[in-house]
Amino acid sequence: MPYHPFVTRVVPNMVMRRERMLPIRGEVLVGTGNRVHPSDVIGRTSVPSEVHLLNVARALSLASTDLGPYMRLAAGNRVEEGDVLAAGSGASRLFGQSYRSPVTGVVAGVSNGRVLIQSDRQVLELAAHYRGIVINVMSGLGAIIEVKGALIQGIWGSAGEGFGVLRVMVDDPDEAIDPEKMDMSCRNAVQGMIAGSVDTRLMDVVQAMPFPVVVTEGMGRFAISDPVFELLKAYDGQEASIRGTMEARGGAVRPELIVYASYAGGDAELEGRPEFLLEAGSQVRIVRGPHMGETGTVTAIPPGPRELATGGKAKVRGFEIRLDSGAEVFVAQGNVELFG
Amino acid sequence: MEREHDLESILIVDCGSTTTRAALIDLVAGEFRLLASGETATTVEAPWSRISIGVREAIRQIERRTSRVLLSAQGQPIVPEREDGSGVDGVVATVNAAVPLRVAVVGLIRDLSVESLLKATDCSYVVVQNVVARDDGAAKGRAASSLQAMMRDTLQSRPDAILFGGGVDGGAVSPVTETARDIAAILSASEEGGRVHVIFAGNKEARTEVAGVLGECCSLRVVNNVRPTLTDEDLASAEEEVRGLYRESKMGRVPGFGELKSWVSAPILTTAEGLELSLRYLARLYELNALVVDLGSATTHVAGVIDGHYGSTVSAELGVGYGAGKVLEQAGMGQLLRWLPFELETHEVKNQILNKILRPMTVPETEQEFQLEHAVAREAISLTVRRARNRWLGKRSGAQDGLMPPVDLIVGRGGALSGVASLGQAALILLDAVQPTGVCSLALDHSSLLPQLGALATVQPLAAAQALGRDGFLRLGTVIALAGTGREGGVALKVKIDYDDGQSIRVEVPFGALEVLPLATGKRAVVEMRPSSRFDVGLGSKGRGATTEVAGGALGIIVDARGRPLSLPTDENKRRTTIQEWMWELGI
Repeated sequence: MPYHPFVTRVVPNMVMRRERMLPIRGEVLVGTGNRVHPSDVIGRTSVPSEVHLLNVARALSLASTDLGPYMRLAAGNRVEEGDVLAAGSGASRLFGQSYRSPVTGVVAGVSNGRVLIQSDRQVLELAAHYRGIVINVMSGLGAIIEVKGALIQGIWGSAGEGFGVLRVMVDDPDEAIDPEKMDMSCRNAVQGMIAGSVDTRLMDVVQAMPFPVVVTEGMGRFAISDPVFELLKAYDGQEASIRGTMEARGGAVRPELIVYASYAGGDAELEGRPEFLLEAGSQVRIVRGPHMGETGTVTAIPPGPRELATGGKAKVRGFEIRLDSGAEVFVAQGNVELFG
Repeated sequence: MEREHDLESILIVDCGSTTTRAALIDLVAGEFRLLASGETATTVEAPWSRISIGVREAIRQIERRTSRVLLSAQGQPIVPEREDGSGVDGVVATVNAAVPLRVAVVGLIRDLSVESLLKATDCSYVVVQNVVARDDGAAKGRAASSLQAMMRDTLQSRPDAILFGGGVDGGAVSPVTETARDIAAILSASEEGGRVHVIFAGNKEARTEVAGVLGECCSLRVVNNVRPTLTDEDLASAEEEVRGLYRESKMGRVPGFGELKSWVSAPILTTAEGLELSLRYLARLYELNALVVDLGSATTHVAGVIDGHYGSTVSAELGVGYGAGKVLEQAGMGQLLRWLPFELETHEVKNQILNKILRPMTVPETEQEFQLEHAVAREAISLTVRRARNRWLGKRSGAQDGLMPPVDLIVGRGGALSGVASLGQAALILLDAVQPTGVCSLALDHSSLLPQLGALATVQPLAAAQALGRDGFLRLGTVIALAGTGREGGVALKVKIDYDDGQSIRVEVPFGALEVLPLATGKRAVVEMRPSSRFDVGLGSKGRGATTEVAGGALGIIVDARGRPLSLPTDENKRRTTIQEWMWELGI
């Protein structure tokens, strides 16, 4: 009975396409076919730090439709705090009256008697973040970069992204990261961190870190899965891009680590909808319950619901799995994910 | 669209945020019955990103169970049914797999137009991101610029829609148009202004001016004023627009929706809309006051028909999966922990809840995980029921302050209720969270059919009615719930049950107890209830007794003498012991 479960990709060799988008329209600085490095700036835009809505018509006792002739500045004009935005002239009924801008910025629009001022804009540069080749440019919006390397998807991440050299800091997948063991010379240059789990008690600390943290298993105290740990160890010392951004619904953006390393094991798979389903022989990871984090192989798919042996007493559909540790277990269908 | 008499075999499908279900309805001995069902993970998120994949898989399960071919070699449902028995005459579907509609509510007076606009958002999968009331600034003595700052913040949070109203029909126009101008000024300068939908549901005299101000800079829809007078409320038109907007801009954009749409014989409804149709039908057919509680992964929906009036509250962010974090945030840690019959560290609760949000399809495996998930279920329902009570449920006849009005039937549905290890767990979750009063039947939509049957009723009402009547519910039993509070251990209710085989039993139920008395499914009994002077059995008068005939169920008759509002012991050990006793009584 095929089943389309949750999927976590941990793949040594994959071709991935990643969209890099400006938050608002701007200028894209690369072209199709360009080779990019993670630190390359591929786009630029300016972002207003704040907008101010000023009801100028009301302040001048004008009908909202009557402001136009009194405006001294138009959309796009720069304005300093105290500059006259609108004023009467000559023999107009606003003689001697004026409205001065309470803020510095740029007039973004005049509509219905209101003036919208965007305070100073900040230039925002979009880095490539990935090492790869630009395969598509969306004019003014962003680009798609094709990347080749190892992919490790996480389940949770703190926001942000980074690029650097992968260093494995523990000898055992169950070992907690000890900050004292970190090389002092590189401590301030950390670009990201990948861990099996984080306890929610540390959430404030993790969120405050100046780099992204990617968690592969879940919240609490879980060892990093063996296949993930083995892959990380194999690529210790290689360059990698890490991204902590995540979105649980409506697109399901997963946090991830991409390691740029050559792989001698054959052609790279193009990332996309997997062509395999969860069936007997599938490589899986247990994602809840007493075996959480363990990996194994599906040996059988019982046709009907079965009682769990873990004390919950509920009857559920599930899979018989031979764990990599050798144990045979029955696990609820929802608690198994395709892995690899 | 198929004609009614052509539809004799129908596939009915519901796609939730984490689970997709399909069921086959067909004629059996001249009556429409549920033949088989299939259930699988919803495939809307990456890497599958196509809702129809999961639907196809659920249908394949039905094929295996019935040995009947329903899908073509290309994986499309075969419609209509062929001579060889393959295929079906039609497919209907409901969907609740899209993210909610993000709405900003902008009105003039918080207690009038804003309150009514907020009520209108309850009808569908809506998250209210910002609320701007023009009188908030005035009441706090703030300058007009503060109001404009609130408006600016609102629009910067990038809502999908602004639900805008204010003023009674025939009242002053200028405050409404002034507010419209504030909205217009920001939308005009925003790159995304044009994509924002504005639903105007205010003073009808202001429509022309509002259209003149807003028509150019957004997608404007004008509906009836939600507050045509100071005392009247007219939500239907605004609700319909909100529902339509959700269908169009959220449900319609679910990946693979187009393929699913090409399969169906009737317009695809949201799960909430399908549920509403089934509930209305039930209430009308059996002349019942009925309440349905739909507890999902991302959403909790409480809908009811009381004295012929329909009411509905969708909590689009509260659920036991994706919505578990919002339940913790809104209810608070203490409210969750109080339902656990054991000690659990708060960080452990947070760890488990965040893990559930990250992997909402997972199911509890250990006793501890079950209990925590059920605690989240109780609070998700409780928060939604409280909102419903404030908006519509508490205003119906027989409702006492802060209590549920008596109803005839309560139906629970959703994975967390149908996936319980014992039916007593589902009953206890519903009793704890809904806190019914009086005498009512308790049932489960154990086959998860209600929304789809509502959709089916739009094209084949007879099939929907017969399948609903025969296969729609699992009757848990009859609940006798006492309102009031008393002395611990004192007798709250004396009950005499006369069974139809001539036997009878008498029971004295003390305050604080749950008592389950036998009455099998299909059996009826006459119950004589004599509450003490501190308790009401739903008659609106304490101490007043009554005799009524009740029906049995999988659990029997449940006497809930814990009082209303339900209060748990403050002493930790006693609270845990008490909860454990309630669970034992219900066979958990």
